[in-house]
Amino acid sequence: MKFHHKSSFLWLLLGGVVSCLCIFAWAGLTLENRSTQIDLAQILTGPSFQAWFGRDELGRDVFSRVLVGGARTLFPSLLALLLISLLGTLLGLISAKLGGLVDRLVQVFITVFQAFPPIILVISLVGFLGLGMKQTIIAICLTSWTKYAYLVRSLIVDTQTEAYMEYAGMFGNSFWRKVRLYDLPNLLPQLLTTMAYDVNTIVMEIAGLSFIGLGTQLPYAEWGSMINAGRTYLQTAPWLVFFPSLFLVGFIFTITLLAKNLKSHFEI
Amino acid sequence: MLQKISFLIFRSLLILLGVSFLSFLLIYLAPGDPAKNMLSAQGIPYTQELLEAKRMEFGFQDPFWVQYGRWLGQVLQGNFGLTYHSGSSVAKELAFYFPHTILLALFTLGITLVMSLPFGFYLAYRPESLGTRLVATAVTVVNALPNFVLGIGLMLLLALKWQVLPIQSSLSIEGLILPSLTLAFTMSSRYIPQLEEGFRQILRSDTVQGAKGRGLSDRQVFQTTIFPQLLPLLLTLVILSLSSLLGGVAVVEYLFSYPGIGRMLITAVTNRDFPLIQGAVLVITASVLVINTGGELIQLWLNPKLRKGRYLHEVSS
Repeated sequence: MKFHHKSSFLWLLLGGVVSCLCIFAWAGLTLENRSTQIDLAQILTGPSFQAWFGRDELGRDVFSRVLVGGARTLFPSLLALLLISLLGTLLGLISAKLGGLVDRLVQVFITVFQAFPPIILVISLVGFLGLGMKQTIIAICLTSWTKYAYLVRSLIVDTQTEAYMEYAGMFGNSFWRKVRLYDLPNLLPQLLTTMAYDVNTIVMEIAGLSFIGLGTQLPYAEWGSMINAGRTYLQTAPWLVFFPSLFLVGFIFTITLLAKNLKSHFEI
Repeated sequence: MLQKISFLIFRSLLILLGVSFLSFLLIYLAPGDPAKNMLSAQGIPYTQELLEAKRMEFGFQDPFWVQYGRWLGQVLQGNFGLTYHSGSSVAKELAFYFPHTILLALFTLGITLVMSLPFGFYLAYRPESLGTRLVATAVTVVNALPNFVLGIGLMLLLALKWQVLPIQSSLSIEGLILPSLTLAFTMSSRYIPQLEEGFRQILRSDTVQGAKGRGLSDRQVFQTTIFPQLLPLLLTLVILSLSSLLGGVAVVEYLFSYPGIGRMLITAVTNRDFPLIQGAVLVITASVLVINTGGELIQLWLNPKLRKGRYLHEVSS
């Protein structure tokens, strides 16, 4: 990849996001016990040197819960995003390359799935599959692949009649080799930018679902469910809502910046 | 024209059929024995005879297509079955909750328009001013706030600190303000940039420049050239926001305990009340579809250019 001078900010952001993710991953692996440790002697005590972000209604340390909650919010989101983009890209690719009946069928599926309002479909799928993070990820995957299938299909259909595609076929490239050499490079800038923006959509979706009690189940920490649980103590212990919200909003804000820079980097 | 209208309506009916099929598939594939689910949700201890009786009554042993056909026939007559939880009619529950969501959606739409139109215009009209930079920053910040965080913030400020509004929503006007304000902020943060871009293009357009050049007053320019050009964009935004407001406000309804269909759906999900979930999905999706198709028809009526081509890409994706 060519290095542009103005894109150094983009790399800085990317590095920042990756190192944040590393910290959350480390916290998720090591602080799990600390984040669920109940200390009834210190219920709802404010921020102090022992507990930087205060303690919650069961005396649990909010700081470690926020870090562990980060892992529980962000990694499922990224996993969901990865699955959605893979599934969508594959279907869009197949649809555009094969054409004919397959194309028609995929398009019908896209149209019908897009007719459902996404949140409503996710909530009801969770209702049928059962509460929990695994089910939430499956539900999000089932509802959100359409966007990628549609995007990839429309991007590839345009290039199929180009001369280079014809030559690529004449040179005896196999189907997947053609896809790898000629379709994917075309696709990548658009795909990456859409994915960057979608990190936010999915993080908000997952946090929102946990907020209404469908995603991560108690006693595990997750930003959305922490905010929901802390809501009761909004006046007496505002730090319960403030810190997870701050991290959630901060993350979303950073990703927005990243996505904007990525977009201008690829000059879309 | 007639062909196009019938095409649009036919297509949405087909989509609706697909939607109904998927909704039925959900309940058909739902884990567990439907007769058992029904009885255990009502808290009745099930015996073998009781299960058999339920199965016979609802025809759970019939083949898939027979069940689907029977179910679809019932739905078309407005009969969505009985809820597991209370055994009351699903249609009655939906008829109670859905109007509240519609009311909230309309209220929010009003606030959103009042908020985003002037700001969108201002941003396009004075691109370099300090106010513009402030508004643009505010838009970016609000855009990064998930609506439940924003809602809690507004609640803290308006209901707890200044105590001008009630915390819990009721059906009074005051109860509507907090949830609709929350939704309107989120919507506006998405629409202000789009409106800004729209206004900017309009202000640059030859018609506006020409009208200015002929010495029309600002007011006249606005009435005769800017506003008519803005209509299509405005219509698209209204349609988009209505459909997303009907289909995506569950979290905010939950936050403010507003008795809308979204909160009902969440309760149904925690109760694992499959018929109620299915009914809610069907009704919400159908109404969103009706709004989108209606929007396309209005666009067709307003914009003769669209009648010529075969597809209506630019309308409500």
